[in-house]
Amino acid sequence: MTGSQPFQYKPYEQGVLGTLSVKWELELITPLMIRATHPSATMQSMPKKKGRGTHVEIAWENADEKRKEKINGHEKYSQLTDFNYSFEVQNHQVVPTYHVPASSIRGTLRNAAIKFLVEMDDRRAFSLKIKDSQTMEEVKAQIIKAHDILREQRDGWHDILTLFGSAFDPLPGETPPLTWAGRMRLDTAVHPSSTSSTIDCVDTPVSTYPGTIRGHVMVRNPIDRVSMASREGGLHFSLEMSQGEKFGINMRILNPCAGDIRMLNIWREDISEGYIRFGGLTSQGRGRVKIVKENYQLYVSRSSSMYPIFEAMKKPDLAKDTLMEGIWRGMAFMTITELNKLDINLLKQTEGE
Amino acid sequence: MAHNMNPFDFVPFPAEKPVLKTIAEWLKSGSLLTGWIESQITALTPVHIVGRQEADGSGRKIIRSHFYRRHGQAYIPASSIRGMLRAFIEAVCNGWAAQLTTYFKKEPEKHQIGFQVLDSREELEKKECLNLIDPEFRENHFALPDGFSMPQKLKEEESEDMKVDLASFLFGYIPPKGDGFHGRISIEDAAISPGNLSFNGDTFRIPDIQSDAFMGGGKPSASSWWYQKAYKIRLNRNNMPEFIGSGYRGRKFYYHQDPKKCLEWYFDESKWPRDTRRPLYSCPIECLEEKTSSEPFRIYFEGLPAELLNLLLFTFSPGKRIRHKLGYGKAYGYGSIAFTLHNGQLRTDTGKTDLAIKQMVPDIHISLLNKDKRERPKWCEFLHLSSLAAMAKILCFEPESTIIFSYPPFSTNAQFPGFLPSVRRGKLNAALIAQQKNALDQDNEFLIDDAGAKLIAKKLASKNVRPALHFEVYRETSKDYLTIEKRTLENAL
Repeated sequence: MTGSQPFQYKPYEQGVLGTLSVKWELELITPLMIRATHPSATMQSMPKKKGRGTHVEIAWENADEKRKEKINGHEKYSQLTDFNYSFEVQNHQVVPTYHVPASSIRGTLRNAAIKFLVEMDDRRAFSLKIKDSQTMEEVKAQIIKAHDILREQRDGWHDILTLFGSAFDPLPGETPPLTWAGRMRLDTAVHPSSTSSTIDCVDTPVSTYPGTIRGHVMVRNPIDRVSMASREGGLHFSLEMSQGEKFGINMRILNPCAGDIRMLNIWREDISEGYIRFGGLTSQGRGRVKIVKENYQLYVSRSSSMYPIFEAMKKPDLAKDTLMEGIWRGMAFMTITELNKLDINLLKQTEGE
Repeated sequence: MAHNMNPFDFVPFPAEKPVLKTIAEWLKSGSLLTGWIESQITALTPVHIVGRQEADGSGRKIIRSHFYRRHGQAYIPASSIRGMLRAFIEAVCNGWAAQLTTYFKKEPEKHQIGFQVLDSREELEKKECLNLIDPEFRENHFALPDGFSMPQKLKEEESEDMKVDLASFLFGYIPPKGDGFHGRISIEDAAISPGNLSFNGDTFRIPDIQSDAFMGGGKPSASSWWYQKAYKIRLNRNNMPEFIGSGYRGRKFYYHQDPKKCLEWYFDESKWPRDTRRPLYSCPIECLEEKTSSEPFRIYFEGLPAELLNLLLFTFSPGKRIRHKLGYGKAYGYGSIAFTLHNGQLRTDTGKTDLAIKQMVPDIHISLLNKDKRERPKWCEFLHLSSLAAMAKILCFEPESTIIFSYPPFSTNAQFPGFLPSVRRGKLNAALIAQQKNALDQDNEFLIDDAGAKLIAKKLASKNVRPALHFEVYRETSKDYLTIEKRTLENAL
């Protein structure tokens, strides 16, 4: 690599001095749509006749087979795009369960951070164009630019990539790679519905349905601009998680820094204003949430200069009566305002350690 | 006696190609703004969004049509609001025509003549049904004018060749093949409070015929000059004349009218003939009542150039009299709506600021009225003014108007019944000039231009033979045609 010095980053050069656990419970203000890769099937009892939304049945097992069934030459079942599901082992049985994929939430938060913190011209600094549409010189110039951005801590790229990780290594072996694991782990959990798990307008009980959410079938029926009738082949059904449902996000950030706290504040603000939405069809208002519960727990290591500050604060030690007692100290913050008051930059190694 | 105006009309496709720009070029239309606008939808006439529809045992008659709900909560779906606004922008800004059915193959009782709306040969061959397209329309003569179809695949977003229309820039586009791109506008569902919904003692109704099909269901046929322009007259195997149309007239929009008066008209037997095989009935529909509003909902915009925010505000509230139509039963007067824009917010690097919507909207209307083009702000350049003028004729909302718009009544002639009755050769001959008659005798067909087609349609209509053959002739001989013609853009704004 020619030009300026390459950027080098080692996330845990001084070890792990602290960890921040962030728990948000989110309630859907608008429906959430995250597609499953495999479709389910739905049924309208009287195909090609008048009437709709009555006697609807969802067939979840053998969906592919069912979609071959016909009545009077018309397909009996229409394809239904299912909500994202996975399989879990419960009571020695494999059962399907709906869930909100962590990758989807993580991607949304990363994109939101980029939009807020990075100048428009630099937003694609760490993504290459479609294969073969860039010359070798252009790729090399982009690599130099990427190193410059990180070294100079220009924009918010430095904070974003150290938190989420980086896999920018377009010319392996030729230039210093910008690859490291992120400091944040994120997982999600759908909270069991407070009401019984039902699909709106579906009359027939479906025994094998992964019924862990309250949902509804969204119908998309685009209108032809010339006939003002339904566009042929445009009718689509998809299952959405209904408004009012809740899911949780748990973030664990190692060696949290001021940039992370700043990002948390941005995300909270933008979630509350509706700028950050999760899942698909956000252009139709899907995926707007509100944070109904939040909890922050910061654990600091004995070798951190923040440890004595924690000791001086009169808050209960979360590490007490655990194996970590005396080695780490943990403190809970019920609001982000409390967390903001903390000078997180003090989370560094004590002198002489 | 002259007939009523047809309930819909077309905003013609302009002679010039749609306005296309790269994303980078659209982005140059002002500083980029992110924020939201809070709005409510007010019903100017009752609004019905189809939810659950109960049908009778035959499946040919709807007993009751409920408003769209999710878990008991009624909504006007965001997709309906978006679709309506996008269709408006496509039309008045000379953009592509989205969401088109790409071909209509020959099907008994549906389409006598198969035709392609846009080049669909690849798909038709794949499905082995190219033979169901009339030979006349297999290779060329697509119904959509050249340049108005959306691309099947987009070039790379940063490429200089990747040009899109304004509506796609605003609302996004996912082509059938390859990657799409996000739009810049996001619209939420508009919730409806239960107190504003009712069947009004079952007086909110729409007319329908007891049949598998819905009355008024759009059928852009190539065997009439209704949706498509006149192209040819030819004789079929039974020596019966076929009036072949080719080339869509434009984008369809419905006129505003009073649904109560319209319904009364349809149920007056002296005005709308009865077909005993497909009796007329009416179905109660649950509506957002007139003069009531939805709950407030937000329209978000992200990275929207300032000039295009002005255009968006104009689109919500296009002048004093242009109003949108939304939902079901538009042909019968339902679904006239107005947006009320309450407030808004701009998000900046340093925080949030209020968007002075209430001052911005009147300024937008005033600026468009400025006769000196040079004095008009930049966003006005995005409008295709003759298309907007055509739109103003259709979407001009005049609450005091008594005009009734209704579909052409079907023929009760026992031999040639229906909405598109056949015409006997002898009756057609009487409307042709000698040269045309000879061509038909010798070649079984002749090409025809629009002026010639109108002349034939007028002659036939004067004898009450297929009066709804030619869309423009039917419109021009309607009793309220001149009143509609007097509607101008200036008055509508």
